[in-house]
Amino acid sequence: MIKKLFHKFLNFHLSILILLIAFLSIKILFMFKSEFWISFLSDLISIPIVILVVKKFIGFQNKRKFTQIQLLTGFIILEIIFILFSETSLYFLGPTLKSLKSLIIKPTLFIGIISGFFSVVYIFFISIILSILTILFFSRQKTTIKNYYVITIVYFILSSLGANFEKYYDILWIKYTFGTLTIAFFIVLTYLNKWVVYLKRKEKLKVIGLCNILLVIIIFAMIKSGSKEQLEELISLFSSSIVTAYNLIFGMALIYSIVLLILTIFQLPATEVIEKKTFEIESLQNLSQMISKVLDIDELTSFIIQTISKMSNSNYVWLCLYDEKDICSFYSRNNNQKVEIDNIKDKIIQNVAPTSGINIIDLDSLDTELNTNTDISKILYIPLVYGNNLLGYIFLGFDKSTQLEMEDFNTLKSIGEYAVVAVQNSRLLQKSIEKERLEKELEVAREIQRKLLPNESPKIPELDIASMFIPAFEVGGDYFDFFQTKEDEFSFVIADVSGKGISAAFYMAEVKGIFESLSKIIFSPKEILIQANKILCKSLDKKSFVSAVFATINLKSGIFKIARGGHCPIIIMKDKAIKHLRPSGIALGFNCSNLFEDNLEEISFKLNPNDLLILYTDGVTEARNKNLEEFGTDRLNEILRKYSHLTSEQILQNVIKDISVFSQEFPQHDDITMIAIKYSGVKDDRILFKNQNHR
Amino acid sequence: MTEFYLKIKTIDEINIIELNGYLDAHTAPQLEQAIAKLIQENKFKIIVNFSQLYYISSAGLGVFMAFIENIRNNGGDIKFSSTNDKIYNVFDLIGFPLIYEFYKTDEEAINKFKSSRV
Repeated sequence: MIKKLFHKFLNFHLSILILLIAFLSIKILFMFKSEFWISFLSDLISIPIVILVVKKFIGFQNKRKFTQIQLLTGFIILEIIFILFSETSLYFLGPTLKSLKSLIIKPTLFIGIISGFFSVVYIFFISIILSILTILFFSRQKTTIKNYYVITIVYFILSSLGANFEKYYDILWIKYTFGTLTIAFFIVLTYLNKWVVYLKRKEKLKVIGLCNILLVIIIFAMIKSGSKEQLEELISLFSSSIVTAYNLIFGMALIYSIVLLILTIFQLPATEVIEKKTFEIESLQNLSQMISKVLDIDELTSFIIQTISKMSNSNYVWLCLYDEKDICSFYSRNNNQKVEIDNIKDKIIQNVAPTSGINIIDLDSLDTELNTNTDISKILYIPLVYGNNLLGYIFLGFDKSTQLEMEDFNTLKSIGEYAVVAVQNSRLLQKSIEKERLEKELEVAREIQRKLLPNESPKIPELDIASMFIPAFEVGGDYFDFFQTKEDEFSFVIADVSGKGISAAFYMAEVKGIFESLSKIIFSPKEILIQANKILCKSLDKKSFVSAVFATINLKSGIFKIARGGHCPIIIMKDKAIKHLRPSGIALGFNCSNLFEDNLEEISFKLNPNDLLILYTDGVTEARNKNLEEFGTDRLNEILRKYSHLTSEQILQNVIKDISVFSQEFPQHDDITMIAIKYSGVKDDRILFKNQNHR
Repeated sequence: MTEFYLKIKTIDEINIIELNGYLDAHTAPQLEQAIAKLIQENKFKIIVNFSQLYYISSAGLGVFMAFIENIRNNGGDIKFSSTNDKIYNVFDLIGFPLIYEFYKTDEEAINKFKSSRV
């Protein structure tokens, strides 16, 4: 604390001020004679004091930021205090002064001290008034008035100094010339004053009031009375400059009050218009900012409601926006207002005609009432139309007395247009965020699927195996896998989980787990599907199912066993003859009773060398072109016939090539999976069965 | 590509849903909502007419599976009518004919509902 004070003491300005006051005290105590050079010395000390006080005051104002009205009020209070002070002191000193009048010519120490005391009070008062005027001049000033200001102050000082020349040497021109110039420049300064323009109507009215009070006080203070003259004489003992400066500053304050009063009165009528326009421009700016900023629909609606409420002077503003189910959900400032319109909103919506633009409904015509006793008698509505779509409405409640002008309609209309864009933007943004989220999700799903599928086809001497998987953008849930669980047994599965996206990908992971474990312990395709169905029944949701084919091939005997649960047929090619095998069977996860088991058929037959097996998912046959034609089984058969002499890998490559030629640029809507297996017979020349019988 | 709409008409307390266009993962929720609404209104006798449907995906099939248990527990049913060869083939592959009744016309399905009521 002490340290702080000490630091303050070191403050440069303050030190000088203290030094000057010390000089002043010495001067007052020791040099009280009425002589020119003594008065001049007083001036030389007083001028820096005034400048320093003004500087300090401006520094203080920069911190506290008083408004212009506060400053004016301060001005008045200060003046009242000062007048009270001088009047009371005159009252008490009056008799003494009269008796001491003769002493003024030959002053004593006592007179010197009294004169010095009053002079200091005057100097302080002059400084404060000058500070306030300075701050008022520079507030909200855009053009540079600094030069005018400095010139005015210089003239002000010169004119004040001239007073002593008048007193001691009868040189009048210095005081009056510079005095006139001071007033002239001051008038220019006052005229350049701009802060009044920015005030609101109410504030302007206050300024007018304050100016009036100020004028009365200043005029009262300036009236010359006998005792006042005595006081001035007393002060001029110290220095006449102070009296002149005092009179000048009062003159300036008078001019300032008059000019300010006139300026404000002239600007008053335009204020409301300017205010409204300024607010409209600000609101529109805010709204257009909103368009680019706000993401949240709740935030946006409350902003729109607030803006419209301010601009229309209506306390009752509701916004309703249609959702996907075509229900207009209402937004309002608070819940009370929401309750108020609940009763009538349906009737209002029935009565509005969106094509008519802004319109007014009289509540009397609706034969219904608001919930609470509000003074709303009519409701104005603004349809929010985007292209051909009606997004919703803005409703405003007005009382009987409100008259709406054409201009108000236009403003509300343009706000409505902005609101439409903002709402639409907010919605589009929401959608694109949603879309991005979905895309991320699908990416995850694709990743899961890719990792769950075999990287490469197994190399088995008796079989030529190839597989192909082309994922759709929205993961389809296709699955296939190969197992070699016993030395001579090779099994494989192809499956398709219903639905799309991440749920399909997760079900697919489950399906893989099920088949992988079941294939190790059960060796009959039918039995595996039965068990898989039991497990899936418990875990799949009602609307999901899995179609699957499970097959085993005995590598030595060429015996092929297969069971199909709701999946696409299995194609078998012997030479050029194509057969689509469709053993009966329901999709998995579809029926949990014995119905599944009872209807599941397992067929088996013997493969001959060069027999070709093709398994696929519906993504192959249902691949579409831009005419929405499907690829279909006929095209598939044709291709297979054409390429069946090639290796499995080559066959699949040709199929995919033909599918892509067929569908061209048309987007693939489902996963495409195909497995081709060519039986090449037992490599160690074991005798093959000649039995070709199969179902 | 995913154009789809449906119409619902009611004949003697039996609700006939006529499907139009492509029923896939994107359009299935429309059908789902429609059936859910019927159930909410305690309308459990439903016939689905497929004559104007060009395509049905696994998600479309799933919609019927989602509701059938609830509907049958309430003494109702979903019956299918007028499925063209292509659509029927899809149903057949999955095994629907084992669980659902298929009819050539709405009338046949209505008659079936009426006869079972007695």
